[in-house]
Amino acid sequence: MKKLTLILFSVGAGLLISCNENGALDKTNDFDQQPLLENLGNNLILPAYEHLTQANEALSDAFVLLKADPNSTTLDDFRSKLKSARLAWQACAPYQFGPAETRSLTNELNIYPVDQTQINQNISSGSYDLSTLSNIDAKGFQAISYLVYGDPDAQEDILSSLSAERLQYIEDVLTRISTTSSDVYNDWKEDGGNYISEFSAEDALGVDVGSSVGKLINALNRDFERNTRDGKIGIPVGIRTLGEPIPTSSEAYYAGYSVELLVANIEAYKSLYFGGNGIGLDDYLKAIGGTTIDNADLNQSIATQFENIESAIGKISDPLPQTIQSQKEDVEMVFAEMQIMNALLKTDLASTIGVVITYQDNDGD
Amino acid sequence: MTSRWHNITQQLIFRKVPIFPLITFRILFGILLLISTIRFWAKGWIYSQYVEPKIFFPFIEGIQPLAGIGMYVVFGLMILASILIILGLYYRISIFSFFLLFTYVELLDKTNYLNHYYFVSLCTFLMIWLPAHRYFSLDVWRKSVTPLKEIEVAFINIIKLQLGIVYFFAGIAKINYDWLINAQPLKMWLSANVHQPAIGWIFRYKITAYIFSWFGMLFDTTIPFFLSFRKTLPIAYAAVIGFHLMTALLFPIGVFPWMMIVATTIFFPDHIHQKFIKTLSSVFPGSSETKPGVYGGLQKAGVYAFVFFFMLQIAIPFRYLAYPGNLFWNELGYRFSWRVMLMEKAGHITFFVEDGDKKHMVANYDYLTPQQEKMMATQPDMIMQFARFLEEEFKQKGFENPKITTQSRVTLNGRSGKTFIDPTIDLTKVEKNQLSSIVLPHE
Repeated sequence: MKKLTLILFSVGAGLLISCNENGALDKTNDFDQQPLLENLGNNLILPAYEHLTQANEALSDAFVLLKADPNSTTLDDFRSKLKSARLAWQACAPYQFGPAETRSLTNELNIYPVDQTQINQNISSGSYDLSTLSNIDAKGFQAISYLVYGDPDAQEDILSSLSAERLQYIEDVLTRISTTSSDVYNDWKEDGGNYISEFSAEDALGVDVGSSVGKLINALNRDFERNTRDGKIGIPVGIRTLGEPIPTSSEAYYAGYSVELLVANIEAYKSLYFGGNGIGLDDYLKAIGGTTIDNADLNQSIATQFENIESAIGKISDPLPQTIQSQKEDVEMVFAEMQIMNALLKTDLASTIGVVITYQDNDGD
Repeated sequence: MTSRWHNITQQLIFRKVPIFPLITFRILFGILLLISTIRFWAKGWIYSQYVEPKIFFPFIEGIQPLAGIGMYVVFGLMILASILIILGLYYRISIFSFFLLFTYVELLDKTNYLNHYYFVSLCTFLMIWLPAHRYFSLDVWRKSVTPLKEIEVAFINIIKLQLGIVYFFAGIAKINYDWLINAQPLKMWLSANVHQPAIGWIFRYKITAYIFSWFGMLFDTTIPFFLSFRKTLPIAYAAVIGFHLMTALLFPIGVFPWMMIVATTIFFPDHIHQKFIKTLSSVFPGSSETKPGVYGGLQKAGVYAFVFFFMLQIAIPFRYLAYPGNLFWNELGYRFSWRVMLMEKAGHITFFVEDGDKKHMVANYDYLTPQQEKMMATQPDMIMQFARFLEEEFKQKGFENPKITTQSRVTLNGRSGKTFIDPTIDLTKVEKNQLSSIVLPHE
């Protein structure tokens, strides 16, 4: 018994020495995930998918007119609706988990560069199954773009190229885009699959892999690295091809508004991070800053990095391939700033929140 | 002096005691091996860890996963072996096979290293030499071995010692500045549990992290002793259950807590084990007659071998002293040392392959699974393995003289991220034994 008292006493003494007296009973985490998830779900994610679904509907409507009477007015209208839909997608891109992941939304909508040969073969043969793996780069927005803008090098007359077969192909691709997007939206909706309430439910709290914050952080990291950093800028500027640019791999190679899409995408990441007008990841980091040793102002570092990315993007303009030729260093700078952000999100942010990047057992490194 | 020494060896090694604890251990530990192997398969990890990855980070150069359904066969054999271990049928062959297959799998990829896998390897290795099938087993029933009623106490103490080492080293590893004075990483990890029903609110407070840190350290360092004394055993075992259930609730650590809860039953007094087996034999009769007076036959050479085995285990955790720098930062000599749940580390590393004035960025995700990438980013030996792979890969792609540099960021225990690997170093020029030279100092 004496020994036990001695041990308890030394624990108490150790504790007193280690917590500096005045802070011992402080709260280091006064944050609740639920309001964060409700805000993101109700005010950002659901509206983003709703907007995408509406933009696709408008695009389908414009297609009906184009198909009925292909002329410069209906073509222009279709092109502008296509652009709206692609911009609407940018706001959904960070949220590729849950229903969007199950339905492979990215694969249906936004794989680029597309395989022109494959597309032309499909059209001329007239028999194709767009759900197969071999057609993964023969569909999506970029495939439609190719068909309604044409290869910039080819200088073809689009209106006269819009044969019945081509229009049919556009329609088929479009149907897949619309259906998948609205399916995902319905999965999220309260009166549909109601994933929205699953997303902020009690048992989805925490930071495990199955938790909503876990899914969110993992999805945002994956998309930011692969699609924003590499897909939108890194690969076109040649970061993975010995500095040799690949203009054809720009996101909007045919339509020529890649930078505009990037701006919208970064805007979406900012909304996610700052929570729009509500609670965001920034509030989360501020609230748990006290649990770190010296990373309490991580929020500030990330906010600053958003500014750095934006100011780097401010120096480049559309069309991206020409900018890469004329101001390669400026484009590389955008990549470098995104690379810094990528590291911040993957290390400091994930670690501070405590998100597990893995499905496996873990004994703490 | 000699007679005192004789008494000690008699007491700890050669004294004859009932075999029951060893039998319980064989059965319970076998059941755990079976469950965890099935669990591993059911979670799809055979595929995601040994089939899907394109490259691996083996502990021993050249060792690699079997192709096709090979890895499924390996796990199938492990399941079979663990069933045989439980039944005590072809015991020596089955425990030896399990040890071999399991250890082979663990050596395949550093990504999947877990201290509890290391524990399983060590424990199954020890069990090869124990007469754990000499009572209440099908080997006895089919008369391939004679049953034993008593064995040398060493056969039981070996397991106790192994468990004691695990706890004790896990405990002294916690005696460090971050753990005790900063209460890290528990401050961060516990804070991620504020949503837990009923107890969540306590994790909002700073003091909780301190209490858990200090209690964890004291628990680990002292529990082997409290389990060893008859008087303190009941309260110590209650603490074992409480401690491990708490960790199971708070952290994603799989079967480890259950393994320890089960394994520490070896410390129970003989009569409890006897009762347990008696209960079992009423369900599965016919295999428990004994001929008293036959012993396990522990040889002196065996004793020396065990002493050597344990001395190695005591030395291995200290090998980090041979490397310069902060152990938690550079992880040189970190593994195989019972440093369990000890730090929060996350990293990101980008490789650049240069040929002349041309520069190519490697997309890690082209080659690695997210888990591999995550583990590599904070561990220099894995970074070097990947760099060597890239060197070969790009030579084949036609790079004549590839130079490999990195951009990296690692955060440790809630400190702001810092550059991890010296960005000026060409990794193709680094020798194997110069790992410490590529890591930048932490402070």
